Amino acid sequence: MSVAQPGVDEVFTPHEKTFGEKLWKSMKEFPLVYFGGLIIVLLLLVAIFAPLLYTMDPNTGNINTGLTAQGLPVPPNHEYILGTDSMGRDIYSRVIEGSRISLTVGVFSTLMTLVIGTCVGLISGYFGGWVDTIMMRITDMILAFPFFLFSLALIAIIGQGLWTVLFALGVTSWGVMARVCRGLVLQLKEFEYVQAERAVGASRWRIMFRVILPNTFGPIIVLATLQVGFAMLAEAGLSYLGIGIAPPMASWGNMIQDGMQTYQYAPWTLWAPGLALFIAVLGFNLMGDGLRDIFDPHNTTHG
Amino acid sequence: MAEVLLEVKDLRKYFPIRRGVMQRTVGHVKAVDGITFDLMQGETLGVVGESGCGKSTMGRSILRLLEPTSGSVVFEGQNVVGLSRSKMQTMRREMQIVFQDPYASLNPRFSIRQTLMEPMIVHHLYTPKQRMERVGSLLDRVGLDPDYGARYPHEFSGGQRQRIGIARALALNPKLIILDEPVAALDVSVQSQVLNLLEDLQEEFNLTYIFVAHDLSVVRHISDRVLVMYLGKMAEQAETEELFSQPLHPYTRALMSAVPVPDPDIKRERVILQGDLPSPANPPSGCTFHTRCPMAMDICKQQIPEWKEAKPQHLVACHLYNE
Repeated sequence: MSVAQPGVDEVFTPHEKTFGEKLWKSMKEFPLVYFGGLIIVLLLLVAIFAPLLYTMDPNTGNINTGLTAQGLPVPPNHEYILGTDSMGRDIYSRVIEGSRISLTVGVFSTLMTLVIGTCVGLISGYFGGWVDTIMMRITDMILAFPFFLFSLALIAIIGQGLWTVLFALGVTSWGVMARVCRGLVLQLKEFEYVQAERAVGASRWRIMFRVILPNTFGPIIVLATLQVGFAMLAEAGLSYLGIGIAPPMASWGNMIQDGMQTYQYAPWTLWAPGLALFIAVLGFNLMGDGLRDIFDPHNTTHG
Repeated sequence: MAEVLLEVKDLRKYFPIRRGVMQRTVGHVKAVDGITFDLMQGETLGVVGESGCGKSTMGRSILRLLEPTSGSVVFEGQNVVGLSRSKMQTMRREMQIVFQDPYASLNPRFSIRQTLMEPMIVHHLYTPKQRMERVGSLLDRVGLDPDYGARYPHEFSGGQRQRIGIARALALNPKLIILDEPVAALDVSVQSQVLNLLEDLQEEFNLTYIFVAHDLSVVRHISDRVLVMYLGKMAEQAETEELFSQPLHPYTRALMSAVPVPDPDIKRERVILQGDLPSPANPPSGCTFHTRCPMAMDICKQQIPEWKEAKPQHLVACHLYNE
């Protein structure tokens, strides 16, 4: 064995790129992620500043100007940019107002899924054995249960409303998240850095939440982003069926339902909320799919 | 030599093989099958054997990273096997491990400082300020710039990462460090640096090492005593020079003859083993080595050879040495 000086091995200094350079490179590479992100940011701004964007109150019908002499919705004009609905309410203001409901439901129900899903996945994967078996059978049940039926039953029990919808979505859609998380944990817990943490004497909870959990974030964030889009659609679906957000409150779902009754002679009542829903969900899906590409280790072109 | 630090007695680790819907146990993989040795304070025990012979499993069973199936591991008079979780936690301050793969052994989301502080935080040692200082001195001690603390693992090379792994093992001032093939994944030039570092640290902190490896020249360089394992069982154990100059077990001889000698003029007798390592789930009867042994006798197929002293301080499990 030759004697070598310790401490003088390879010095490792990669070429540092500026943040701007990196951002531009990644924007060129994954344009859809940034497009999706842009949609999401715009949506957030609209939802936050909704009251400033109204041209009139979204929930009151305008009896004088909002309906024609025959009592029909008014088509888009200079006063009502996107026309009015069957009650003479301004559709533009209602679409703006609906973004708040959609985002609230989408984000909060996803947060709920995230908390339940990752906890179930972590505990199930880390402890294994009968804990794993029981938790995964429960997950199977959740995954096998028709979501709309479950929500219907839940709403019948605790009554209609924003929080009911939120809760119904949260407790029914964590199955996939738990599965993905468990899979990641099973893989990560055999990693040497997790073993090293055990050798150091860290408690099981510390290993689970401080070491393993942060390393599952990549795939979990992708899933959560896609889940937001799904939850927004589900909320619209429930509202469309009349069991989601109750009418005077504006939600894209119940606006579409309202529009269905008049679309033959006033199709604009359907277009505006439909398009809004389409763009919002598209934004989240683009972002989610794009993030999946970025996190994919086989995609070696980035970095 | 000083007093005994670690006594391993008849350590076994069997992994159940489960089949079918009911997950019935249909057999066992006998990864570690009756390992016994004593380790003196300040000594280095080299453990060698082919891939899959249970070397690493043995190391991890001693630390209870894998729960041993049976046997005892007595560290400073206390049996580690069966200790409660809290007592085991205290015990972990005394024994640490360095892993083989420097790319998998550091948490990619922890900075080097976090990685090195983690053991101290877990054991509630020192004040935050002292911890910072200690991280700096640990990095310095393993030959890295103390300012590297803020960096993340991906910014380092394999050799540097292995030094960080060693620093983490040192953070708690342990008495025993299990080195699980610490240089197998490194370039030869970096290997010697890391080995020298390990030797320096051993002297400075009076450390005791269990050095698991499959590279015989590395083991010869660093060990005081060598244990040869085959299929989870002990084949031979002796002082390093004794073992390398006079190997007794046919398996050890085969291993020795596989070490390349950097001199083309030296003619050597090569013992080339036929076939693969048999499955530890279904080991051969009698002496597990008889299927590949060039000197196998009838008795080898029937009787398990005894583990005994063939010469003073030279233990072997082979029927050739039954008088």
